[in-house]
Amino acid sequence: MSERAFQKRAVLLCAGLVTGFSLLSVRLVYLQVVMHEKYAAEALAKHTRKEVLYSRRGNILDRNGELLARNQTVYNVIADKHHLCNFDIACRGLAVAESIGSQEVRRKYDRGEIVARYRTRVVRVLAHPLEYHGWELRQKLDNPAQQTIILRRNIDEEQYCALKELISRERLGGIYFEQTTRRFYPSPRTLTHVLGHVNYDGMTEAEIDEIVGDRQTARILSRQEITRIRGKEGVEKAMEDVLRGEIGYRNTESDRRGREITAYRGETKQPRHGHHVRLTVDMGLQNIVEAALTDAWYEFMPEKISAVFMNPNTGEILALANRPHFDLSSREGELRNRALSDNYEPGSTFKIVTLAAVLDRQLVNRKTPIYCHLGSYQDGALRVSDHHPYGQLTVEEVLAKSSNIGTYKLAMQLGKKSFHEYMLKFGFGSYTGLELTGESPGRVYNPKVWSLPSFSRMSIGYEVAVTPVQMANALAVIANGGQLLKPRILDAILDEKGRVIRQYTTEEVRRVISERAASEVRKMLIKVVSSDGTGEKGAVKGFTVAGKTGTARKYSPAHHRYLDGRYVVSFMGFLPAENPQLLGIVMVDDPQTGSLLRYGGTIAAPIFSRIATEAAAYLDLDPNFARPDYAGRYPTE
Amino acid sequence: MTPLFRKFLGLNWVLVLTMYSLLIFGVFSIHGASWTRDSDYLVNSWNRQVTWIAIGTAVFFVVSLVDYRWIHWGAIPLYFAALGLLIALKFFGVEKSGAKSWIEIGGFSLQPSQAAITGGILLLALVLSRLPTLLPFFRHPFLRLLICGAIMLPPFLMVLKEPDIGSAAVWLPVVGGLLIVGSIPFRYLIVLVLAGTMVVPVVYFFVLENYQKDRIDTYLNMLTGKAYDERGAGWVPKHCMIAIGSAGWEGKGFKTKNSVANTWLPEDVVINDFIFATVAEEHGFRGAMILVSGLAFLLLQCVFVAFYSRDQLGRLIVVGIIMLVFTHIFMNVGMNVLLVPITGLPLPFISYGGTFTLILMFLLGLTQSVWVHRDQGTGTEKTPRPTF
Repeated sequence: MSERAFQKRAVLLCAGLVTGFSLLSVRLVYLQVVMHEKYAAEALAKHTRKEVLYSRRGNILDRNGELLARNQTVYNVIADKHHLCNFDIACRGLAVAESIGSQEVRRKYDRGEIVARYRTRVVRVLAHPLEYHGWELRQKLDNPAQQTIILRRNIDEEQYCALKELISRERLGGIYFEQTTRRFYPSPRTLTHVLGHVNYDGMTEAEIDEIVGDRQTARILSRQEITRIRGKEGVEKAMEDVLRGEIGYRNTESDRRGREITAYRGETKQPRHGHHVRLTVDMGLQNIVEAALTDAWYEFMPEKISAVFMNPNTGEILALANRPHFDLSSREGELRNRALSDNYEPGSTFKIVTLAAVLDRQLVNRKTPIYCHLGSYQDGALRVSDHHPYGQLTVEEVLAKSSNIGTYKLAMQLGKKSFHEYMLKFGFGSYTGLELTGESPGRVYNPKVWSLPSFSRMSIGYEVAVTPVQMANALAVIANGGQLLKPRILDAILDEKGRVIRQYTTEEVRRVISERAASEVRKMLIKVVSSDGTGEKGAVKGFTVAGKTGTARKYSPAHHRYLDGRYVVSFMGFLPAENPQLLGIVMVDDPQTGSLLRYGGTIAAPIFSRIATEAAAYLDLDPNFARPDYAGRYPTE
Repeated sequence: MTPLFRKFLGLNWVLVLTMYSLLIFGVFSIHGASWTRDSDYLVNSWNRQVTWIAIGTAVFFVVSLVDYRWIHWGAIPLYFAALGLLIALKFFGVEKSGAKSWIEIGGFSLQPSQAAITGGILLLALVLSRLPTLLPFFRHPFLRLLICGAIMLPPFLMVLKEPDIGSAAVWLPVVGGLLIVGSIPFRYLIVLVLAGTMVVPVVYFFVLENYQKDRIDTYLNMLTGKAYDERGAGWVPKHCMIAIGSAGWEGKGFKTKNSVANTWLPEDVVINDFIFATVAEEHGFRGAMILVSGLAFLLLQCVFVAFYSRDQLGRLIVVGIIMLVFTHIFMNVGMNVLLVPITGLPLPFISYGGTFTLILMFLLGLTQSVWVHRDQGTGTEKTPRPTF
């Protein structure tokens, strides 16, 4: 070969070399310069895992420290399909199944068969403990769309231990557990609306930002990792910030098998665990209320029942229950807290506002006679009527007999403007400030928009919308001597170790009526719960009870009229009347009865009486009547 | 001055320095790719590499100072010895990661495929340069092609059957290069290339094992941005790309603790097949380009040697060596940067590996020998003088 020919051919070869090296360089430029950002992020994600350190959600306690809501450690069972198909893992599992050595298995079957047999083995062993049919589990495992499959969610500690032992005994590789937390309610059908419920959501973008700091690492967190418990209703929602705490994180680096390389552990932010919340609710009393409401629910088949019990001197809610309600663990049922969220027309119970107002202004006294027009009062186009025709009644009797005409005539002495002012002062038409979700402010119209009959209707408790909690709180004004208090359900916030870090105290909103007027109204209310009054059945043996019945015709928004024979009946009262310790309201919406008349005094008052009787014993209230002697006779005074 | 010392001084020292720089760089790279491991065997691999280089140095200088004409009588026995090793492999071979490509002799293992291609280069060079002059009958290109095929095919097929596609694939450019320089007319070469292209689909569908097809499919899917099995065949290339791509311009530093390559690639291949990923990750684009340039510079030196060799035999030997080294570089770096599918070829001078280092130094010794003895013309051919 001549020199020239060789050189020509060598140039060809050199061109090949140059092309090869150029290709490599181009590729290097592409990877290391053009795509650098992308791969740098991926490398960071590979290495440094930002592991979320969860904060424990705080517990919810009742006033005596009884646990109402706490966290429970549960486990998800996860199958990793990549590992299930791994030859070595399959060999080990099959060896145990057939009681032969792993090497023998390799000799006995070929590769594909071992993996297939292992999978059958996994299905056979796990189907029963995981509560699957064999074919169901197989279908789940065969699903080609997923690499990791969640076989069961939320199994408890006991199941977890049993399963774990089974898996290690059978040497089933490729099945893993993932620890998570669920909210656990020891008594799931008690105090439901107060406690509320939680959801298990992912975090929002903003939260991730706040926790993780920078976007790049945020992407490292998998969806699973950022799932968290979030309060949706009730105390869980209202106290979310306190209960939640702050999530921390830890930068870890891990090798190929996911083992943590502890030597490289990076910066760590410890989580701040959530604080515990102690409620003013007394579970003893709450259970009494729940039982009474359940019985009433089945007896009267009403649309709804609400009961609120509180301490009138401090504004603390001691018990609050509604029917229908829901199951805290399954979240099935009526989620709406009707004692707080639903408005109703209170009817006669609202007359305490009118009476308290006229007595506060000293326009009348208890014994002032009022003429009640024998059951039918007409003033131009305006008609007011009573259930029974009454002639001359004292103010006291107007309340005891619940005369509409008498009440309206008292209100007229007061005047529209003052009456409206008193309604507002009693807290109607505005939020009470109770620390729960979904509170309705009710509605009190301004006198400017009142129609002709509005004044007469309002004075006897129609054309106003109130909530049971507002009613109870208004009665507390009478009971405690004229102060409107902010009702509250929170007693204290405790830190992790149970030390009180914030104690809630009674807040006085304003003085509504004078102490003297309050005392007068109290005396009148005692009369209601006597043989002369409508609320006789609200009496409690051994105690003087002050109370007021209410029977309002039920308004149907759909029909724009009051329905015949359907009522919202209620009773509210407190005891002992001279030194009120316990105050409560029972509201039954649309009770269905046979022979029993549908009045507050006949339906709601007995429920109140039952609750109050048991509660008085439970709370160890001092009876103001002498105790009976051994023969059961009361000594004469 | 003794003739031997004159020869010693006459070595292509630029080439020697380049080679040793690369080898030393390789030792550091091996250390950087294995220092985090649990097993002492892996941690000490750089140490063993130094030993191999020491042995290789002896081989290198002996071979470079001896006139390469010994190939006239040595090529044939060498070739058949390598063939013998390949046959022995069938019976005594040790299976490593699915392929029988290693023989263990007295405690250390060697890869006969590398010996075979060395023998093949020498014999082919000899046949292409000498046969036409000895037997005018073989002047016909077709006959030369036939005899080249006869020499190449037995070891090629045996290596392919191991199965070690990578090592087998090296034969193609090497033989191609030899045929180009071996004055086979282009029309024959073009026909060969076309025929080879036609064989590709046949090989893909009937010869390749499933896992090999899988690698190629994964490679194609990754290149085109389609979905691929990230935890199976796609694991290694994906992490290679992350390792290299994340390094950027400056790299993460020698013995960085954040090395993706060291953490996520299988520990036993990262010191040989995937050493480039570690190098590129630790030294960045800067370092990777210097390494590639260094390798290119070494090949450039070899091209010089080929240019100035005194006879066709020398040229063919050096061209064969160039093609061998180049193919290894291209396939190795290429698979690290996802330019070609994964084959499992080591990176010359950098990767850990006893046999391969020895063979490389032997081949570079031959190159030196061709350079040193370029002036001792046979009288039949014109000898050009070095001009640089």
